[in-house]
Amino acid sequence: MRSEEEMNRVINQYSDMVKRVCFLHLKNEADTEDVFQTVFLKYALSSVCFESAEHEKAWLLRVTMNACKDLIKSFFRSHTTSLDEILEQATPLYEDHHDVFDAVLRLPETQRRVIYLHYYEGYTAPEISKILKKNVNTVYTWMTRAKQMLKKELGGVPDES
Amino acid sequence: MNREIKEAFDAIHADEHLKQNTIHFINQKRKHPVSTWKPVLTAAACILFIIGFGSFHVYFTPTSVISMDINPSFELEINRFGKVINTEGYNEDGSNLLQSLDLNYDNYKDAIHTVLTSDTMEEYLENDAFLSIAVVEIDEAQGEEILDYISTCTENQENISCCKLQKEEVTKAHSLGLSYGKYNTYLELQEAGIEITAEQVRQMSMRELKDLLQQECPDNLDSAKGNRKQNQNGHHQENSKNTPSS
Repeated sequence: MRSEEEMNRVINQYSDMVKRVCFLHLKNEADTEDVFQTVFLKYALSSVCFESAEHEKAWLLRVTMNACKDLIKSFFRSHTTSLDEILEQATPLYEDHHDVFDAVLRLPETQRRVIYLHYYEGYTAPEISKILKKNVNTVYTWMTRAKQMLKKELGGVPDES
Repeated sequence: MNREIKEAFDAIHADEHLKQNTIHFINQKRKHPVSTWKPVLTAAACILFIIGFGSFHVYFTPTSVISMDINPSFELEINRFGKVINTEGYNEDGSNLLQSLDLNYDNYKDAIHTVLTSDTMEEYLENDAFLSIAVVEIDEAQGEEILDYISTCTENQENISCCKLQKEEVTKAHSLGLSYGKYNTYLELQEAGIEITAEQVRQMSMRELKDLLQQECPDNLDSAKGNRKQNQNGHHQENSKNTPSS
């Protein structure tokens, strides 16, 4: 198991990122906390030797997304809340960006991911394809469709700056 | 739009409470590590226990019983593998004989050979005692095989008889404290109208019982020798191959 010092460093450095990815998929606090702890426990138990900070970050992103997917697929999750209910729970916390969150969270999961990884984390399509282990053309397709849906929802298109 | 997306996600932070809970959670796991092998080992232990218990049960379940009466009365329980798994004496002589021979876990063929060639048994047979051997079949195929073996072993012995019978008859015999061989003779005596108790039968030798039966029922064809088989009505009848003509 990784040392306490290392865990403190990783949690402080990546907690916001992990929480954002959790929220992007799970959209409520309770599930977010579950996955949050699971991800960092996996890190603590993992014996992966990271080549760089970027490698470590990409590993955490992938593990977080997979953990969210596992929770979504689980029995309890599938028999609980609808998207509207979740948004009602989530949006009171983010009233300032209510429209943006609504629009992004209504995207299909794959498009939500690429929007977040590209427009927030700054990854290129080839880098995203490595993180998500998908063909780069698939990533471009998801990005195009996500932009079209956001344009429809919000009346504007995210610029590339 | 790009700025709005960034600002929206910038607003999401992991609060200190969540971080501290996570650190505490991981430290708890550090103190009490999760063993991935524990459930596997537990499941393996349960499976081994069930297999072991099952094997034990199979090994120690009798599939045939060999009942021998001369004066010593005793029974040998045989498992599906042909091994003697239990011996029971039905009188003192029977218990003493079993104790002296130690037949447990022998193959039934070896056990029968040991009994028939023991000093005690040879002495009885030389003194014209009568040996009755009954094979109680729980497993039909095995019962047949045992009876064939015993018949072959004893075919030249005039004062030995053997027969095959069903398990239900044994229950009645045991309820009276008799091995089946003596119970069978007890029934014959009762059918012949001879008043005798189970206790008296227990005390008498097979020779004495056979002689009594012969005395009271001269028409009884099986006075001293021959193989008998049980018919569907539960009565014994002669196998004409081995009995003298009347």
